[in-house]
Amino acid sequence: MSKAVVQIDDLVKRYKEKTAVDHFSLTIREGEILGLLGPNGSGKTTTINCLLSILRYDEGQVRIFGRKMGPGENDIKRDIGVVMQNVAVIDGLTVQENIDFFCGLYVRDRARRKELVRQAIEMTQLQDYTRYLPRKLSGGLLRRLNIACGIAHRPKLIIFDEPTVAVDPQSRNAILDGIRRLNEGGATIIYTSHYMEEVEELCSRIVIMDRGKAVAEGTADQLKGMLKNQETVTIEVRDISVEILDGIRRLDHVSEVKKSGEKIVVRCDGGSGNLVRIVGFLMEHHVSFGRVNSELPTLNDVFLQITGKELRD
Amino acid sequence: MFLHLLIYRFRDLVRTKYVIGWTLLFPLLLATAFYAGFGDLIRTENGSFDPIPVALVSENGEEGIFSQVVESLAEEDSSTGSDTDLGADSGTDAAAGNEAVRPASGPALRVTKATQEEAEALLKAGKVNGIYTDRGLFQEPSLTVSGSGMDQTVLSEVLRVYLNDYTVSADLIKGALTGSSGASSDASADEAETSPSKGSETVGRASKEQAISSLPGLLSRIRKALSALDELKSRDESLSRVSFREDPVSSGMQYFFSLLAMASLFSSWSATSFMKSLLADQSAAGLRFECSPAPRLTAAAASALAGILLQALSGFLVVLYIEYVLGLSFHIPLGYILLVTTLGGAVGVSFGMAISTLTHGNEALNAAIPLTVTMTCSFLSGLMVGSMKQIIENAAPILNRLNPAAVLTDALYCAGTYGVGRQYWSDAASLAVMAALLLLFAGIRMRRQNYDHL
Repeated sequence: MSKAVVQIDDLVKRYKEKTAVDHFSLTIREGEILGLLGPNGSGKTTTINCLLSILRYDEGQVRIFGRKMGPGENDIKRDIGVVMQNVAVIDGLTVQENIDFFCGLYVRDRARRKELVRQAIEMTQLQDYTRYLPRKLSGGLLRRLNIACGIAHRPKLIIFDEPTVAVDPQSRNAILDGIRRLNEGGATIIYTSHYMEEVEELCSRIVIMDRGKAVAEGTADQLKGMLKNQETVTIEVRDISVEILDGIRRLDHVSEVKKSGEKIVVRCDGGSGNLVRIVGFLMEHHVSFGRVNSELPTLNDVFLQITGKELRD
Repeated sequence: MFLHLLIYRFRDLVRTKYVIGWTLLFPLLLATAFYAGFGDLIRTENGSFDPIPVALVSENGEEGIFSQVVESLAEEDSSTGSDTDLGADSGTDAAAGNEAVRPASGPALRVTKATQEEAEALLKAGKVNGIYTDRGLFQEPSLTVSGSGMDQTVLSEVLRVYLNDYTVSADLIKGALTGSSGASSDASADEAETSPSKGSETVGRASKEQAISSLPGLLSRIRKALSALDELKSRDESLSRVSFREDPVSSGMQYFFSLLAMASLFSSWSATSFMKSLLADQSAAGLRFECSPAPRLTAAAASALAGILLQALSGFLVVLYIEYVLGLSFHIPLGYILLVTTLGGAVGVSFGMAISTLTHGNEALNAAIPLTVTMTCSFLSGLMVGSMKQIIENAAPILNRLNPAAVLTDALYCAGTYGVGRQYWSDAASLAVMAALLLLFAGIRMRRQNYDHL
């Protein structure tokens, strides 16, 4: 098993009466892309800020690269890259200057820094904008600059805190591709988001947070496997008798059948070929139907089942 | 690391529009506005100055030192020369005194000798603006004016300055009379020395002829005495000023001194700007910076230096604009102006840094505090009302010592009026101490900064 890059034990952070992080523990291993998923206010960003020792915390311990993390641990900080939720650049510096400025806080050798800046620009595809001031960039380009500033010094651990908020699909894909490449290059990544699709697509392991606690943890498949309902089939029908509905209920793996207006919703608890089986049953009983749709469970369904609310609430 | 931070911080500040706006463009605009308002006055004062008409009444026909002083002020190159110093002790008083006397190359007064009745008639007719009454060598003179205004203030100030030195002058004159007068006055002088209370009577008893014949010698002795007084003053540790300059600064330049002070203190905008990207509670860039291994205090020092350098450059450009584009002379070597404006800039920068460590990223406070404090300090130093600093000096002088704008204008005024002397260096040192204390406060706050919330 690869070594632990981040070890958080029993972390507690309180804001007066409110507990933002509540006895949260987590281990992140080298080479992982860990997704920290949760709705706004669930404690993701607070956890990250405690992890980086920017925020004081009330209880617990944080170890990074096997060493206790603290505000003055510059040797540890040297190997960490942070991409903030808000764009964190200097308004008066151009794209290239911004990347060089932040890279220079970590890397003193000018020749090496020049090469690292070039690579960061290339990776974020900002070659055509190096002389632009941030205010001249679109939202997507700004996000890419934000990433370039956080990763140019080639850190071993990179924290992405909701990096794709308000980003167009093209830039979003470029950002996700870039993160994959960084991971392939050896970086361990913590990725926080409330966009479950991104997390599902990118992360090797996911921790779902709610009210400062880890409520579920595992791979996307493991998490979805926790759900009772594994497939939802929706079929448009005009007229359907109670007997036919009862017949569908008796099919294998069907756990629930509901009629809702001119639709029936069939929930299945697993198995394969559920859609074919249900459609075959309807044809066999000469029931005419319109559009048919099958949905597999999402992380939102997982979250909904665990917490009783939507991820984007 | 330090150089890296310094270079980028300087670039950032130069490209930050509101910083350049407040530290450079606003002072240039205000200088232009002041020039439109006071330019003529300043040029007039620097060039020709209309003497103030005043009547001189010698009570009982006696002419004391005061008559000589008044008459010397009515002569070309007389009291304004380097051998006479009529000022008071402190730099501020001195500045006020000088402003009132308005030394220039031409005469300050146009004196009409008259009897009491004639003088009163002249005053009533508006032909003179005041009546000086000289009551003899050892009696205090008086001034009668019929109204108030700048000329009356000048006349009053001449008398005030004279009376300030009256006792010392009298003693020195008695000494001079004793030491070097001719035989005709030896007895009188001896009597005056051994019995000062009888001195006035002794001179008063001298015949008119004796008085006239002894006048050239008396004048010479008075000049020697006043010269000796000046020398004594220049040696006195408590007195910081030197003699009046040949080409003194105009009183209207006070507004430009305050303007330079304001421009210097506006460097607090630079500080609140760069502190945004140094502290995690100020901005996302600040948060990113605090995640890096760069030492806080090194970054703060480099940023402060960048802010001070920008202020020095802005100050330089504003001074060049006033001196060479507007054509108004500060009468101070450029290096000395730059030194105090840069020190003022250091006070502004360190003040802005100190504020930023307290506001927790509150944008409104970061903008409002530098603006309010700078404008208040500048106003109290005479930016809008030229006499404000003097009013404060009379009411609460400590405010003038604590107000960096007042200290800066004092330094410039003293340097412009008396040359670069002890008062200038004292003011410069005050500014340096203020900057150091504020920097120390900001440094301690930054070093201990830990966040409970962001």
